[in-house]
Amino acid sequence: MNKNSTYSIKFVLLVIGLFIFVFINIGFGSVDIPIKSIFKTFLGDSSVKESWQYIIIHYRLPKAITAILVGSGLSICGLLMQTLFRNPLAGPFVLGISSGASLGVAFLVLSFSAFSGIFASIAFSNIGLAIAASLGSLFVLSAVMLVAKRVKNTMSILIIGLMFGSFTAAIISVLAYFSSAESLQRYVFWTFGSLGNLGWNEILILLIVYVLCLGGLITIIKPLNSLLLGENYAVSLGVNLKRTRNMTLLVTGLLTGVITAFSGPIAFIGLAVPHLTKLIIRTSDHKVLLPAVTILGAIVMLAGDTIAQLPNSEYTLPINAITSLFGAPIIIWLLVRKRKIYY
Amino acid sequence: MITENKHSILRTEDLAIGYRNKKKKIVIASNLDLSLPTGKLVCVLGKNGIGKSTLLRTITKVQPKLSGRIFLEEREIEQISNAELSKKMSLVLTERAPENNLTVYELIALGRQPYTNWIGTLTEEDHEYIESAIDHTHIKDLAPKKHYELSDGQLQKVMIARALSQNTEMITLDEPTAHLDIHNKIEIFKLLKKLTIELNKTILISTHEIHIALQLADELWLMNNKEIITGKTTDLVANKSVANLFESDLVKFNAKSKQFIINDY
Amino acid sequence: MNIIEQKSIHLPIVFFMKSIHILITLFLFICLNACRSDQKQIDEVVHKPSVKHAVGFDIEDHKQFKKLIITSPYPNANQALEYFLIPKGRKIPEELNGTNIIRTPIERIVVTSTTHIPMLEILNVEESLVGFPNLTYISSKKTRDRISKNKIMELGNEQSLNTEVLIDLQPEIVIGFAMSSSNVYSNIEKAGIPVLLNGDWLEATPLGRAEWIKFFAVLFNKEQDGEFMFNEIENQYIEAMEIAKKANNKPSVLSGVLFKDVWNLPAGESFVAQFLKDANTNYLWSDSKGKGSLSLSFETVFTKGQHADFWIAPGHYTSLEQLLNANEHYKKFDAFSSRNIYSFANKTGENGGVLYYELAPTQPHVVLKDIIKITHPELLPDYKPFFLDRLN
Repeated sequence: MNKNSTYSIKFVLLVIGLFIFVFINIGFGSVDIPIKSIFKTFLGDSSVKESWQYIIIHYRLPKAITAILVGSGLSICGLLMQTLFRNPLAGPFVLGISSGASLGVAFLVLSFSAFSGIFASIAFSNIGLAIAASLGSLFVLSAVMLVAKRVKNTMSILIIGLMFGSFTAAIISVLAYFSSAESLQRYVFWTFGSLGNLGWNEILILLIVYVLCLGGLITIIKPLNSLLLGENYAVSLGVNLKRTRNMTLLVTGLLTGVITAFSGPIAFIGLAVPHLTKLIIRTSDHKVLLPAVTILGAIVMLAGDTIAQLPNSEYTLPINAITSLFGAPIIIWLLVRKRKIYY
Repeated sequence: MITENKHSILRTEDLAIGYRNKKKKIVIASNLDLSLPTGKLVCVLGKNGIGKSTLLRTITKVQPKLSGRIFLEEREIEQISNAELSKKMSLVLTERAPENNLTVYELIALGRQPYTNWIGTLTEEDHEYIESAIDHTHIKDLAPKKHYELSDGQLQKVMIARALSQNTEMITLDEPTAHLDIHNKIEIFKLLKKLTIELNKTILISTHEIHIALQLADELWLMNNKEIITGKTTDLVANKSVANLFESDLVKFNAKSKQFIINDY
Repeated sequence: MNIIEQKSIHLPIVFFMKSIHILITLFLFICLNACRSDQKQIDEVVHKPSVKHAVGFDIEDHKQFKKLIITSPYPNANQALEYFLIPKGRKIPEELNGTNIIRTPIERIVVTSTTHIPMLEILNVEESLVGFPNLTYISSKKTRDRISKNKIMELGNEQSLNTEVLIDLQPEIVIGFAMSSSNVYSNIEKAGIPVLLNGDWLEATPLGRAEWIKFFAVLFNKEQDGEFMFNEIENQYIEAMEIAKKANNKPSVLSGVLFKDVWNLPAGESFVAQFLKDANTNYLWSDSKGKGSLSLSFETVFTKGQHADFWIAPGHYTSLEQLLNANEHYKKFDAFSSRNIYSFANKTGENGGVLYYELAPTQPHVVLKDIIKITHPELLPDYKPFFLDRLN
C-alpha cells in the first residue's frame, strides 16, 4: 500500500540520520581529534596518540551509547504516557519519577553534608547517587501505583503523580535550605544531567533494563492502539485495561527510573520527541510510532550532547540546558507551521 | 410482558444495575429479567437519565452489575473472558475519541483486534472483513481520510463499520445518531435493520428516535422508573405501553399513525 | 658718662625689648597654630602600619582614631568601605559623627567563617568570640572547648543568620562576608550592631590573605602583636620560597576532580595556583585567567594532565578506591598509577571539618612547605607535611 512505502522511506531516512549523528557525536568533542585518527582507533591501529585512543574508546563511545539509550528510552516513555493519559503534556516524569529520584539524591547529598567518612564516600560516588536515585524513584512510583489501584479514573493518576512531584520538591527545598554551599552545588550539578559519566558496567545495567522494558512494551502495542479510541472501546475490543495500564506504568517507571538514576533528570526529551515524531510521520499506529520515536529520540539526544560538548572549546554545558534551550523553540516552530497536534 | 424465549442470544435473571461507590449502592433498576432475541433489532426507549446507558454498559460488561446474572448464549457473562467476549459483542458509543492520526481504514481495522496476533498484523481475511464492512456502510470514499477530517455523521458510520468488521453476533449501540441530521439518522437505522436481515446480527440500540424506532424496531424495551417493559413493537403500541412512556399534558400518542403529537388545548 | 657706658645701659633694654618682641611673635604664632592644629591633627597620619601584601584592606593611624579601609568587601566592588576605630572612653570627634564608628578594643565579637577563628587565636583574643553560624565545622581545639562549655552561641546559617538570637547576644561587632553588593546583614546593622565585611578570601596571594591578621589586630588594639605574628609568617614563607628555588627540576602538577561531566580545578591566579607557583612547580593551568576555579571538560583535562607528575587536591576524595569508584577514568592518569596524589581532605578536626580550610589562610608557610616537601622531597629532608597527605 502507498502508506507503507512512505513509511519505509521515512524510516530509512531516520536510520541513516541515526548513523550520521552517532558519527558526528563521536567525532566532535572538547579536544580536536582528526577523523582519520578516529577511524584508525576503531580499526585497532595503535599508532594513534594514547590519550586520544582512550578518549575515543572509553569516553566518547560510552557517552554515545548512553545518549542513544537515554534519548530513545525517555522518548518511548513519553509516548506511553501521552497515550495512556491521552494528554499531550504528559512526559515520562508525570508519574513523579524524576521528583522521586531527585528526592533520593537530595537526601544523600544534602543531609549528609555535615558528615564525612563512610557517608561521604557513598555520597560522592556514582554508584551511591545511582542507588539513591533508584530508591527514590521506586518509592514514588510504588506510591503512585498503590494509589492507582484504588483509583478508577486514569486522569486522577496523572494528577496524583504531579502532586507527588510538588510534595517532593518541597521536601528538597527544605533540605537545601539547611545544607552547605558545597553540597548544594553538588546537588544542583546532579540536576543538570550528564551523559558522559557511565562506566561500561553501568551501561550494561542500563542496557539490560532497557531490553527488559522493550520486551514488556511489545506486549502492549496492540492495546495501546485500542486506547486511541478511548477506554470503553478498548475494553469492548478485549483489552485488559488494568493489565495494560499496569504494564505501561511499570515499563515507564522502570526505564525512566534507571535512566534518571544514572544520568540525572534530563528534561524535555520525553515530552517533545513523541510530538516531533508525529509531526514527521503522521500516524497514530504505535506499531510504526514506537520504532520511529526510538530512533528519533536517539538522534535528538546525540545532537544535544554534541552541542553540549561545545566542540573545540575547553568548556561544556549541562545537557539539560541544551535540551530545553533548543527543544522548546523547535516545537513552537513546528506547531506554528503545522498548526495542530494529534494523538 | 413476557416475550417468546426461543433463541435469545442474551438473557438476564433478576439483574440489578446501578453504581457502587465505597459503601453506598445506587440502584437504577432491579429485578430485570430481560431477553434479547437473536437476529432482531431491539430499541431501548425511555426518558432522559432513566438509565438506558447504564443498562447497555452493564449488559456488555463495560460496567459491573450490582446483582443478578447475565447470560450470553447461555453462559454466564462473568465466566467469559474479555477477549472471548470481544468476539461476540461489539459497541458503538456516542462519545467521540480525541482526534488522532488514524485513517478511516485503520480505524475500521481496529475492529479486527480480537482476531489478530500479538502485534496486530492484518491477514487477508482481516482485510476482507474490513472491505466488507466498508461496503455495507457505503463509506468507500471516506477510506483514506483521517479521523480528524470526518464530520460527526461520517464518524458514526465509520464506527459502525468498525463494529461490523469486528464480526460479532451482537452489536450494541448507545444513542449512535445523537448528532446526526434526519437523513443520516434514517440511513443508519435502515443499515442496522438490513444487518439483522442479511447477516442475522442481533442489534440492541438505545435511542431517542422514537418515531424511527416505532417503524423499524422488531422489539422494544421501554424503561421507566419502575420497570422495563419488553415486547414486540406492534404489541406494545397496541397495549398502550408506548403511549404511557411519554404521554403527558404536553404530548399525546396517536396509535394509528404511531406518532407523538403536541397536545393543542 | 661716656658713649660706651651709655650703650651698655641701652643694650640690656634693647635685648629685653627684642626678647619680648620675639616672645609675643612666638606667642601669637603658637596661638594661631594651635587653632589650626586641631584641624590638622585629625588629618595627620602619625604612624601608618604597613599593609604590604594584602590589597583588600588598609589601615591609617590618625592620632585620635584609626581608619580601617576595606577596598574589596565583595567581588567587583567599586566602592571602598571606611570605618573609624575610636578607643573606648575617648570622645568621638565631632567631624566623625554619623560615620561608621567602632569602639576599640572589641570585647564581644561574632565571626562567620572558620578562617576567622585562627586569626583570633593568634592574637590571643579568642575569648571574645560569642557567636558563630554552624558550630559543627570548627576544628580548633581551644574553640571547641569553649563551645562545649556553651560559651559560643549557635547562629544558624552564614547566609541567613538567626537575627533574633544574634541581636539578643549583643556583640559589639559582626565580621561577615558577602558575595555581592546585596546586603544580607541589613537587619543586624539596623539594630545598631556594626557589620564589617571581610574580604580576605578575595586575596590573590597567600601572604596577602594571611596579612588580614592585622585587620583583626587593629580591632582589638593589638597592632603590634599582629605585625609581629605576620612578620614571622612572612619570613618563614619567603624562606621556604628561597629553598624551593634551589630545586633541580620543576615537576608538573594537576589539580581538581570531575563532578559528573565537569572537571573543576583552580584557575591560574587562584590561591592554590599561587602556592604551586611559589613552590617552584609547573602547574599545568598556571597561565589561565581568573582567581576562582575553571570548569573544563574531561577530554581537555585528560589530554593535558594525563602525564602530570603530581596530582594535588583531588577534591574531597580521601582514598584511591573512592576515586576509582567515582570514575574509572582516573586510573589512566600517571599520578594515579604512581600513587602521587595528595589531598588536604584527610586531615580533619574532631567534627570532620577539613583543617586546611580553617588553618591555611593563617599558615601559608606550612602549606608551602608541605607542597615543597612533596614535589621536591630532597629540599626539606626532616619536614613532615601537616595539611597534605598522600592518597592511598
